Formats: sequence, structure tokens, C-alpha cells
Amino acid sequence: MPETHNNDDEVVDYFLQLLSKNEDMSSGIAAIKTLLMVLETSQFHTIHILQKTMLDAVEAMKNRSHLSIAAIASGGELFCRFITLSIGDKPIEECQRIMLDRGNAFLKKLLDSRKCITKLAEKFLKDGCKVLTHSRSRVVLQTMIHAAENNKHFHVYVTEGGKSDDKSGKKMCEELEKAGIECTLILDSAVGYVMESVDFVMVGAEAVVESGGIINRIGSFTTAICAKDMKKPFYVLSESFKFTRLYPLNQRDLSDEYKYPGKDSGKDVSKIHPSVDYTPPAYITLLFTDLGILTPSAVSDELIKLYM
Amino acid sequence: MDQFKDREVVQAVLIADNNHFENFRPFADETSTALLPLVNVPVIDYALESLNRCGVEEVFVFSRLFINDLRQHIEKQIKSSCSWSLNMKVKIIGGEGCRCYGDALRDLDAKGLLRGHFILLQAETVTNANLIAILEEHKKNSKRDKGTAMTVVFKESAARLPTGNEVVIAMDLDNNRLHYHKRVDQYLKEKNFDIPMEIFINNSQISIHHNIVDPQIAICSPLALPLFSDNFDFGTRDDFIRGLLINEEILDSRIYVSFLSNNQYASTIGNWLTYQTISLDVINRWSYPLVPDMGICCLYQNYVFTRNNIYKSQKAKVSRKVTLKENVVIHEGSSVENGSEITNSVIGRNCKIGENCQLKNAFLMDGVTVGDNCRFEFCVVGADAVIESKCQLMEGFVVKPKEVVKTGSTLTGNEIYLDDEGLTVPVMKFLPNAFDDSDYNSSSDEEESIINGSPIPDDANIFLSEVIDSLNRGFQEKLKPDNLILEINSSRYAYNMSLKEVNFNVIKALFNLNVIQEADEKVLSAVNEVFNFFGIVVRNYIKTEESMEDCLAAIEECCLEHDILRSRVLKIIHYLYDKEYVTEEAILNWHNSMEKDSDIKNSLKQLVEWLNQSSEEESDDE
Amino acid sequence: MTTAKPIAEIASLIHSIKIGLEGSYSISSRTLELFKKIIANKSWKNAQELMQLVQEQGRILSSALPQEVVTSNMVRRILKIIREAFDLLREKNKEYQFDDGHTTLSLHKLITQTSETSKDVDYSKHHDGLRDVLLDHLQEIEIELETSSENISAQAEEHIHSSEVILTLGHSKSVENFLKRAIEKRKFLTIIIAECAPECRGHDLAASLASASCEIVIIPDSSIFAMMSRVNKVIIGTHSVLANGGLRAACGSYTVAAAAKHFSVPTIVLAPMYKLSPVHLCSYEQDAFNILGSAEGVLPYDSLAAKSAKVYSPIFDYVPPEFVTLFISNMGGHAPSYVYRLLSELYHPEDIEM
Repeated sequence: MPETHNNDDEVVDYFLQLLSKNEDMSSGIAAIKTLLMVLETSQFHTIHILQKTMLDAVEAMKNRSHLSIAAIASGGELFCRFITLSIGDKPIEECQRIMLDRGNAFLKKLLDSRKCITKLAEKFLKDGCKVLTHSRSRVVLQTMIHAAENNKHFHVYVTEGGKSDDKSGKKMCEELEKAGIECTLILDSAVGYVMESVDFVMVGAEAVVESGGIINRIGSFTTAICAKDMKKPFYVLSESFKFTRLYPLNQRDLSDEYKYPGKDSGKDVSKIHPSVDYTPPAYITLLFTDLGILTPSAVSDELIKLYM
Repeated sequence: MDQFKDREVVQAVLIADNNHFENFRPFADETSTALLPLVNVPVIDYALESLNRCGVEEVFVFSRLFINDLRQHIEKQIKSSCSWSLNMKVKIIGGEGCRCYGDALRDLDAKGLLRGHFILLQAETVTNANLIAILEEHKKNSKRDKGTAMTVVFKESAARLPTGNEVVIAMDLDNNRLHYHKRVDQYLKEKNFDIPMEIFINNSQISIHHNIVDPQIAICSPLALPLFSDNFDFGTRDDFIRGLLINEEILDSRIYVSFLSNNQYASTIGNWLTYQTISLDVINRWSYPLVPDMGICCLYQNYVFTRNNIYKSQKAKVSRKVTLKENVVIHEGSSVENGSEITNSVIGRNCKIGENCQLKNAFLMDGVTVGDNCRFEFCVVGADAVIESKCQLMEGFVVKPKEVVKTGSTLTGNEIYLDDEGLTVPVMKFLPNAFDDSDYNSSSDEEESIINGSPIPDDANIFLSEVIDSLNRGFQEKLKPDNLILEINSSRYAYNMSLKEVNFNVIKALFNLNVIQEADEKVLSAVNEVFNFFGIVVRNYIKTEESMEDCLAAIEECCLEHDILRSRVLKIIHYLYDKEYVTEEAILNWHNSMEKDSDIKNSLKQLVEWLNQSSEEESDDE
Repeated sequence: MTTAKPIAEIASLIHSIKIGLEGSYSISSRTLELFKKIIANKSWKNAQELMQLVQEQGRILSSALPQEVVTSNMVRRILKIIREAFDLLREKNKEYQFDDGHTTLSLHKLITQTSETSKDVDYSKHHDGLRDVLLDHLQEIEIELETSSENISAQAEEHIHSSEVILTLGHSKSVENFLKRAIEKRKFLTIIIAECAPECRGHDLAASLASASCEIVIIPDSSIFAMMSRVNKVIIGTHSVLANGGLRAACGSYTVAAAAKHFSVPTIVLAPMYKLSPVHLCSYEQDAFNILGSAEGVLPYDSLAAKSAKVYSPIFDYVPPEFVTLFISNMGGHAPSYVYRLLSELYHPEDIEM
């Protein structure tokens, strides 16, 4: 489709620009913002074309960005789903206007979702507790900072976070220290060592799948196994737009585009390190979402309700 | 509450001013002791709360000194609908006209306010006992005996520290009637009590209790009030009891005793020391359900309870580097800065504690400000006092409300002399573990003997501990040896000891005396001291060759138990030989009877050789 | 923190619970009765005012008695009923299309809701007859409460068979009725009761169950594990059920459940609907999740150890959901993972946070 190719570049540029402008923005949110932009600026003749344009845009973002694509995929999918739900008999311009309206309302709610999760999860951070977190997650960071502001004292162990190139664990540590929270940066391989001394594990997620499991930065599964074995609660903080229609049963079921995003895509994957892993629901104690505190089985319920 | 509806109203009288208010100076100069905050709640609220929980419906609070303060407090609490104000009416009586407790009861009698049996309680009493059950028991009793005037409630207790509430009583086992009542003096160490012979003659079963405390709880019959009215010399409850016991026949009224069961806590604050103990008891949840996190007298819960008995208000700010060790209560609005360490302490509302402070057994009332680097041990700080930085308050120091303590002061316990004899008010101090107290030797020595590996408390052991007891006391109080011999002999007959056992145990007791046990390196001079003092006693028992062998056997056993004695055994035996307590033959016989290669035998070798030599020389001379 | 003053009835309810009103059933029925009185007698103009009143008083109840979650549950139920009754009346008056999705917060709703429908419902509108509708609904809850114990014990036959060995601990009213029914219907039962020291309520249960047709065994708590190997079923009551399907139950329940898990003995928990509570366990030291009882029950005050040792006598245990095989409520049997669904049906999401 050569005529849409140009358009794709524009979309990806806008998307990347959004992300680079705002460090704190989740790629899912950026994807939805980009889609809204597409919806606003393009002209459509039929609903079918509209839908196709959207899907193409999602595809483009997935392929072109170096970021892990789980959040982009789920955010984009939700947005597209939302479009099909609102199809009526109205003329196309009317539809587009309504969609834009609703899209903006949706986005507004999503932007609030982090605050909502923070409020829920903050209660679990008790005075004097020790927490292990994996790499950097914005929502985990925000929750901890918020708790520290409320005069709670706790210690955080942060893993380096697998990939040696992005130093995300170190960054997380620096940010926590800036907020006056005691923290220790540990090697990923020290998870087992640290586990017995922590009270619980708190991680973010790139995507939450239908089974109630999560897809997250590589090493999350290891941490979850350790936590389960030592009977420590494993809490996941995730916005609801990260709920994805996937049902992986094991690591192989995850498609390569999740595991090897961006520059690695399409290469011979046997030589490349995967960037995410899948943590089955049995390892997760609770998920903190903007819809409330959910058990893994409640997540499947939510997704079934949505796509039924 | 429905179950009480069709009965008469249950009434109680609360006596708000402590008899020993002078113990609470300087606090008691400013307001009633009933308003003293105990774990951040005025102590009168504990009493009211427990009355309310029991289902009492009407309470008269009698106050003598600070009636207005109390009235204000009670009114304030009723206004804020605190928990005892539900289903319970509280009235204040007293004031100028009433000089004492008796006056209050006479007043109540005159006004006819009390209609039936009622509960009489000291306002400083903390209890979780079911008083209604005792009241019922009392009522049943008074149906049987029309002359029942009062049931006094006691609680058995292991003797720990003199609190001023210990009593000795004699009562009839059949019907719990009280025959003898004596308050143990808080300051004098009384050892003897005279119990009239008639009590034993007239009653078949009398039991004497000395291990009980009086938590100032009693149930009174309607009969008691006219008795107070008729006898103007009845000023206190003790007067009343004494008067009734003396004039039983004339007044035709009797007093009964009721004991609180083990699971019921009851205690009265009589001085700062008991204030400290009871505060810690409340924190340690002995007074459950009257504990900080159950919300005493208020609807809301003030504290979050965490392990090690730490109760922290959610509205308290405790900085990150503060160590709360154990038994700590921090009320709302208070703040503690970095580096401070707090143990066994209570911190009131809106207190500010600076950096690097050490608080141990410190009781801070509301609004206290403490500077940096202070050290508090065993002290009370009145409301709104300011302690500037680098102060040290130790050993029972009491800071007056609103007082300012200047930077760098070091203050220790205010010695408040009660009279010319130099008696002081008990101040807060380190609480010894039970049975540690040297005042209670009998128990402590039993403990020791168990530790020393003779776990069977048979007659011989009891006899031994009694002998140790007598000798220790005799040594301390320099009693006449003759009296001690009499005492030992009476113990001997009581436990049916043979002469051999007596000899053995007396010597063993001598070596178990505190002086020797605690002498460490100076053990020889201690032995010398003991034998000089008890020479007559020893010679009374150790006369014959046989008794000398008993004596040496006892020393052998003592040496086995104590390393220091064992290392000095040679010198000890030599000393006894020199002073002619034991003869050469006895030593040699004893030496031969010992097992071969035993430590003691080896260490005595030198002496035995020398003795043998000298005896050979003697025989040579012949 | 709430600044509202408790009304007299609430204060006296708190007081009577504090001085010893016991049993979730009596507490919930007292709470319900009380709010019925408030709804019937207090003056309120519209649903919003009423909800505010109920919320305020509910908050007072829960802050005064954080352990008695059934009171808060009842308040949440009542709030939901007010919301529903209000919606029903609106629908009748053709003002608003009733939508079931409105009562639960879901992803579906999050996406489909547009700005105009997402506006909060205006409860301040006056409706005639709201009071009567509410009182009718409350009557229904009251009946549900009254019959819940009966409904639970009616299921006894399904779960207990002849010559089985049943283990329970402490004294739960639901378990008592349940077992009584089982004893009536089945023969040769052996009921093992762990006494649950220091209060030893197990003794009361044994006394009340005593009957010729079954064998009753009392064991100390320390021998729970040893006895478990010959047990067929564990049946326990609970103080409340948490949002994740875990239990807040009498201390010792965790021991029982863990031992049962070890021997693969099914653990059945009897929990009427009013015990389901939409709160999560944040930590064991969470504000008032647990309370400690009297030290005296464990150690006499005068004992030698009392001065040197601390005594902890917790009242509750947290039992994780994976230790529970089945919940039996008055609505039937449920798996622990299903609890969240029941909760979303019972309570309105906005009322979860009181």
C-alpha cells in the first residue's frame, strides 16, 4: 500500500515525538494519542477505511519503534475496539465527530488511571516494609513516591532489569533516591538472595493478558517464581488499557514481535535475547488497576465482558 | 443492658482523691490525682469505663480537693458522649464540707441517694473485673447474714515491690468472713503481725493471707452507711474495717472477703512507682479490654498497634531513623525526630521530641517539648513542660506541668521526705524481675537452690532455705545468736530433721549466705566474718567428731557448687582447723572417705600431709 | 477523618458491641435494624441526603470498630439499595433508561461511556415513595439475614455423609447449626473440635453438639496437625471473607487450613453473604486487621515469665484463599476465586471505600 506509506511515517514520527517530549508518558497512551491525531486529521469515506487506517497506524507504530510493543498493541486494539462498538447508522462525519469526542473522554480517563492505581496500591506500602521491584516502571515509581510523601518509610530493592544497555534499574534507583526513598540496586541474579528479606514484590506490566497473567520486562517471571516459592505476595500495577486479547500458555506462545521489538524484528531470533517474558496468573497475587484491585481471574472476566 | 432493667439501679461510689496524694507531688498540687493521665487517658476514666462495662447505671464521684476540675472533666466527657456516659449517670459530690471519705458516705446517707448495695471504688483503680458478679455474691451473702456490712475485694499477687497496697488478712475459710486486717506499711519492713488468739480459738478454719494486694474495691450494704453516720471517727475505709472488726458484737455487722480470680486484673495507683507498673501493665494488655488500641472511653480508635506493643497514632509523625523498641505509646499530633530511641514510654498528645533523644520509662503528658540529645530514664513530665536540649532526667524525676528545664541540666529523683525519719516516696526505678528482691529471701533462695541442681523441694531443702533465711536476717540485723539457734531448732522440729541433717544444713546455710555468695575474690574474709559472727551458733551444733564430719561434708558439697569456694578449700579448712571448729582426726577421716582423684581431695593433699607430719611428730614426741 | 457526630443509636450500638455484644449475625441484624429506624424516622429530603447520612454514620461505625467489618458491609448493602431504589424510581418516571452496566465499574464501561452518560447520577432529585421502596428492600435483607443460617445448614446433607470424620475449631454459630443438622441426618459421625485456646470456645461447641448419635472429640490446638491425617473434611466458620477470597477467621484457622492442605483434606468455610467484605489484606500489621486479646489468658500475671516475656494473644488469623476449597453461603457453594464476583453484585464500587 504505497499511498499510505507516507502517512505511516508521519504517524510514527508523531508517536516518537510524543514519547521523547514526555518521559513520563506510557507508550500505550502515546499510541492512543497518535490514533486520535490520525482520526482527527484524516478524511474517511467509509467506516471500513477508517478502521483499516487505524489498524495500519497501530501496525506502523509497532514496527518502527524500538520500544516494546505490548502496550502499543493493547492500547491500539482497545481504541479500535472502541470504534467498532460505536458504529451506528449515522453519516460518517457524524460518526467521526462522536468518536473523536469519545476518544478524548477515554483518553482523559486513562490519564487519570495512574493516579487511581497509586491510591489503591499505596495502602499496601506499610511503614517499615521492604519491597522488591523489577527494573523501572512509571506507575510503581509514582506509587512509591506518593507513599513516601505520606510519611511512610520503606526500603526498595530494585533489580537492574536485564538489558544492560538501558540501565533502567539504575535510573529507577536514582529517581527513588531523589524522592528520599531508601533503595538498593541489585543484580537480576540476586533476586533469590533478596527475596527472603522482602515483604512483597511490586512490578508494573507492559500488558495484561486474558488469563490474568502479565507480559513484562524480561526477569519478571524469574522474580515471580522466586516470590511464589518463598510465599511472598507478587503485586502487579497496571493501567486497564494494557489489557490485551492474548492467551499465551508459555513463553513460546508470545509472538516474536513482542519478544524482539524494534531493531531486532525479523532477524534470526535464536541469537537474540528476548526483551519480555510472560508471567502466568498462578504467580500473581493481585493486580492493581484503575478498575480496582483485581485477582487474576477477575481480569479475564473484564476482558470477556469487553469482547463478548 | 436489658437484663438489668427490671432490677434496682446498680450504683457505685467513686472516691476521687487519693489518700496518698502527697506521693504525687508536684502533680497533685495542681489538680486531682484522678485526672492523672495513665497511658494518655485520665485514670478516672478507666474506673468509670470498667463500671460502665459491668453495667453500673449510676455513679457518684466524690472529690475533696479539686472538685471543680473533676466536674469540668466529667461534663466535658459527657458532652463528647464518651463511651461511659452511655447508659450511666455520673454525679459529682463532695467539696468543702467533706473532709474525708467517711464524710462523703455520711453525706450520701443523709441525702438518701444510695438505695441498695453499691460498689465502692477508688478512682485510681484500674480493673477489668466483673464487679457485678461480686455484687451478686455479696447480695446473696447479705440475705444469709443480715449483718453483712461490706465485702472487700482482694487480689492475690506475687510480692514484687512494696506498693502500699499490700495487706495481711485472716479470714474464715468456711464463709469468707474477715477477722483480721492489717495494711503492710509501705516503708517499714514489718516481719511480725499480731493476730489475736481469739480468732483461732473461735473459728475452726482460719486462713491467713499475706500475699495479697488491696485494689481498693469494695461492695457496701445499705447497712454500711448508717454505720458511717453513727461513728464519726470512721474517716477512711481502713478505719471502717478496723472499727467494725473491733466492735463486731456491738455493731452487729460483719465484713466478708472476696478474691478476684486469676484472669481479672485490678490495681491501684498509689505512687509514681505503681504508676509506672500499671502503665506498663496496660500497655502489655493485662488490663484487657482496657488497652490503648481498644479506645478507652472514646468511640474512635486512637492507635495502630504493631508488634512489640507499640501503639502509634496515625496522626503522629515519627521520623525515619527513630527506634521504637517496645512498649511505646505515641498519641496524635506528636512528633519524634531522627536518631531518637524510645522504650517503655508513653508520649501524650502534641509532644515534640527532638533528635537523638533517649527515652526509657519516660511518661510524657500532653504538649511536652523536648530538645535534642536529651536522656530520660524513669521520669514523668507534666503537661506543656519544656525540656531544652542536652538535659538528663533520671530516676524518678517529676517535671511540673508548664515547667521549663534549662539546657544541659541533669536532674535526678526528687527526694520528697515524708517525715523526719527520712522516709521517701517511692520513685520510679528499674523493676526487678519477680523474686529478685532481697526482701523476699525465702523465695529467692528456693530459686537458687533449684538452679544449683537440687530440684526437689523436699523438706530438707525447705529447711535449708529457712535456715539461710534466718541466718541472713540475723547477720543483717545483728540478732542474738541464741535467738537464731532457737529459730533454727524450731524449723528443725517443723520439718522433722535429724541431728545429722541439721548439722549438715546449718553449715551449708552458712556458706550460702549472701555475704559469702557475693564476696567473689574476698571470700576468705567473708568466711572469717561469718564465722566470727556465728561462732556460737556453729559451736552449738558442731561439737562431736561426727558432727565435724557432717560439717566437712557440707563444705565439700558447697565447694562442688561454687568454684570460688573450691579454689579456696584448702584455706577454708585450714582456717576451721585453726579456730578449732574441726579436729585433725575429723579432717583426716573425711579426707580418706573422699573419692580418689577428686579435685577437692587433691587440693587438700598439702594440708593432710602437713597434718600427718605434725601428728607423727607428736607421736614421736611421745 | 470524619467530623460528624454519631447519632445516639449508633453510639449505643458501638457501646453495646464494645461491652460484649457478639456474633456477626446479631451485630448485623442490630445494624440493619438501626438503619431501618434511621431511614424511617430521620428527616431527609432526597436520596443524596440519605446516602450522606448513612455514609457518615457508617464511617463512624467502621472507625470505632474496625474489626467488626459486618457493620460496614451492612452499610454498603444499604447504600447500594438506596442507589438501586433511586434508579428504579427514575426508570418508572421515564427519566432514564436503566442500565445494568451502570452499577459496576468495568473496562467495558470505561470504553463505551461517553461524556454525557458518564455524568454522575444526580441523587438529589426528590422522588415520592422512595422511603417506602427502601423499607421494602430492607425488609428483604432482614429476611435474608434471618434465613441465612437456616439456608446454610440446609446444605449440610450435601456435604457431610455418614461415618465421616469432621474437624472444626472454636465455636462458630453457623458451624454449630450446620453440624447439628448433619448429626440429625447422618449416622456415625465423628466430630473433632480443636478447643481454640486461650478462650476455649471449642468446649462450648462440644457441649452444645453432644448427642448420642455422634462421637465428639476435643483436642488441644497443638495436636491439630497430628489429628488431620484421619479427618475427612474440615468445616470452619469465619469472621469475614476478604475480597481475594481469603479469610479473617479465629486464630488457629490458619493452622487448621494449612494442615488440611498438607493432607489434602477439603476445607469448607461457612460464610453467609453478610460476611463478604470488599477489603483486601494489605499487611498483617494493617490497621486493626488483627487485635490482640488479653495477656492473662496465656500467662498468669504473677508468673515468673510475665515480667520478662511479652505475651501476644491474637484473635484472628488470615487464611489465604488457596487454602479454602469451598465457601458455603446462604446462596450456595462458591469457589474462593468467585468471591470477587459476588462482591461486585453485592456492593456498589463507589461504596467500597467508606
